[in-house]
Amino acid sequence: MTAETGNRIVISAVTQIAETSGIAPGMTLADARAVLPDLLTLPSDGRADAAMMERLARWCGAYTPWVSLDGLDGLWLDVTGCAHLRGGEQALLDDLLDRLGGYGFAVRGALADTPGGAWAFARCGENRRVIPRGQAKEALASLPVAALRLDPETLSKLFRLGLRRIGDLYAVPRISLANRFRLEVVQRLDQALGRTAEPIAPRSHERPFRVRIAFPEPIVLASDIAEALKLLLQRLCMRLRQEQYGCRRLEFQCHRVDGNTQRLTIGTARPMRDPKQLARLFAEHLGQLDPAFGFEALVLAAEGVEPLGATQEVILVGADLADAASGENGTAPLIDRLGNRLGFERVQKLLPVASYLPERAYRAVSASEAGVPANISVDGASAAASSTPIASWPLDKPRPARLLRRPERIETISLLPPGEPGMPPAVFLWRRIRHKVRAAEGPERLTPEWWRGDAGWAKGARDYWRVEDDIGRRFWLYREGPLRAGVPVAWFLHGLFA
Amino acid sequence: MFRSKYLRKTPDAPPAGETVARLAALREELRKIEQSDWNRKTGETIELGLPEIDNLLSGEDFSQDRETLQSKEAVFGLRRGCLHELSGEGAEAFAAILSGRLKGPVLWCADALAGSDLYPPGLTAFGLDHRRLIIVRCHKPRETLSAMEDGLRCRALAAVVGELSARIDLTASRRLQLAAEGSGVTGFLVKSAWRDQISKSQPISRATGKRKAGGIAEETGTEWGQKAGETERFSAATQEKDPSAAFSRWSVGAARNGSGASGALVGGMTWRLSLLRCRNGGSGAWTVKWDAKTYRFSLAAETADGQVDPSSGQRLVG
Repeated sequence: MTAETGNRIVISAVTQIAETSGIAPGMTLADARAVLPDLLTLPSDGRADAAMMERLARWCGAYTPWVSLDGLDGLWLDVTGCAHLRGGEQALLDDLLDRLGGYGFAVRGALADTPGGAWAFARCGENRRVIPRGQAKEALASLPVAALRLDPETLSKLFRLGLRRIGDLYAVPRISLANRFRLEVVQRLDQALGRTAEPIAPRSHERPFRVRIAFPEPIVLASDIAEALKLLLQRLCMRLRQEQYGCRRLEFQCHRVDGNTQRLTIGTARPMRDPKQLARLFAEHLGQLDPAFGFEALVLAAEGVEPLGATQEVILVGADLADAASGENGTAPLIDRLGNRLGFERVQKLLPVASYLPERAYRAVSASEAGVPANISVDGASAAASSTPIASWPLDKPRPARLLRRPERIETISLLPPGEPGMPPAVFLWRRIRHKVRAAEGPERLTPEWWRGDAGWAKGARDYWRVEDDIGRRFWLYREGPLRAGVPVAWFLHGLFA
Repeated sequence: MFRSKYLRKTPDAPPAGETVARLAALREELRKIEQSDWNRKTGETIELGLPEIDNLLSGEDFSQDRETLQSKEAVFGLRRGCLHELSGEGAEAFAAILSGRLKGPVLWCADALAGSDLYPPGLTAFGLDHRRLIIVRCHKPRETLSAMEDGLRCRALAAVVGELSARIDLTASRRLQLAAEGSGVTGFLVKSAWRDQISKSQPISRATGKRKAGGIAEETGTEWGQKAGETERFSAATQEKDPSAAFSRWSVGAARNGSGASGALVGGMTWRLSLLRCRNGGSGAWTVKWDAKTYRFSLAAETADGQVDPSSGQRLVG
């Protein structure tokens, strides 16, 4: 592992094999390469390391609830009162280290009366050592002073004075230690020996947004389930309100007496914590539940939460009410309802895309993601505010109101003399209905975008015509490819004008 | 019905003139009840911009001048907060134009119409901005109806457009109408004529484009062309009789743009607009032209195609 400090690249962590070849953390990359030319290095990722430690700390919660991070590469576990659960202190330590070793971590550990003592043994002493109660002083005496968590500067001063081991410090009067090194050495020594308290702050425990209700008797009736859900929603929303969150995704788990678990999930377009609205979203799905012999427990969990500040509740009257109902806040509940019923991918907004190809001119995105712009009027006053690359489509070219997903081949009869092969047909047959062309407008030539390999446009440019049949139906036809003598002209229908 | 009962129950009927006057008074009273009820809820309309049609939709006697009508709080144009049925080739376009004239988001419940999709660049030309569109892809009529109902209950919307292939029954349309009345959101039920044609047969795939060698010769004027035409006419006829709670029912049929000479430019959009039924109003038929540049309708001058004169918009009150 390498890390960049200033303008040097420094080795920050090494594998055991590299260590035996003489690579040590703190070397520059160039030096390390000189020692071992085929050294493999990876840039270190501090954030991922921290996240991993966080996960490890959570995992260690299996041994004790009192876990805390120690710097970047250590963990404190306060196992007071927990050791008997694993068969004693030594057994607990072995079990913990074996398991972590089994996951592929290089890990050292020790157990002592004090955090300082455990730290000293884990880093500098014998691995997997359990220091019996009250014997810390003797056990620590043989460890180097580096085991006391001191500054490098203080350490070098101690070295110069010939104080190499912790035992050497016992003989020195405290007052002179304090004079020379301020309180640091004394304090660390006291912490290691248990003369001063060193509290460990446990990781703050994240309470998941999850509420549960269990019944003495299983419930079967739909009304009971709905009522229970209402209760759960109220409790959950109360917590969400206290912690200023809103949920984006909710899961309702119903545990049936026979061990079967049924789940209902709803999503919302924006963070929400209104129990009434959420209940409405669930209401449509409650029918899917099959209670059979009844549900014994119901769990409601917010799986996706987002911060949501407190909102001012105002009493709206008349015009204010209408204002509040319009715009984004107004349509979001509707999108939620439809999205939960039909699937959010089916509630769409269409965004313009800058492309000459008709079928690429727009992109459908889920309305819950696009956000609903508020109060847009036809006059395009807010067109500038739009963040899409193009605000709208050019209006000078006629475009149909409906576009066929795949252009359809039409059979044609051209009454024109063969000298004008590019003209639209006089009669064509589309889906078994005959259309007599009475008027035509065009052509508008569209060429494929060469930077995209578009299979539909493999034959090259298309000439689009707008034609009107004898009763006034208007179609968007095109002719494909270059005109060549002897090659039959292929016509396709691509769109329907209104 | 009311009239016949009334006459039967009173053998010594008052003179004819009195009956007529009384009926007129009753009708007026009914209209006032309906009107006031509706005005309280929404009170707004979408004007087509064509006085001939807007006046007709108001349900007032349009022989009076406009000032008098306005003083009577008469309304012109298509009512908002109601359900309107549109059919014909231009149904989608008409829905887009009318909802484009409103302010606010529009929910479009699109169903997968036999391989064709709503094309937003085309709708923009009718004044319906894509940013106002929320599209719901519905696969079944039931989904469309429920999505429409939810949309019609949502006050934040300006309009809800539902594409339907199947006919809907009286109960369904009444539900939609009630939802629209409650919220003031305007609903459009669109039954496109393209649907009749498109869903009739499977598309001819690109690969087997030459499915039938003599396709046109075989099929012109004989089997398919005629049959399809007949069914279309048949469905149009039954649709008119179909009971519905919609406030009005329109047919927006295809109409030719040009003078008829082959090869002429297509120009703007022309439709044969017929008001088949309107609660509280009349009926009529016009040929209208849509100008995509000014977003305006105009009555088209009639041509020698034997179509109805625009001034013959007849009025049937009742």
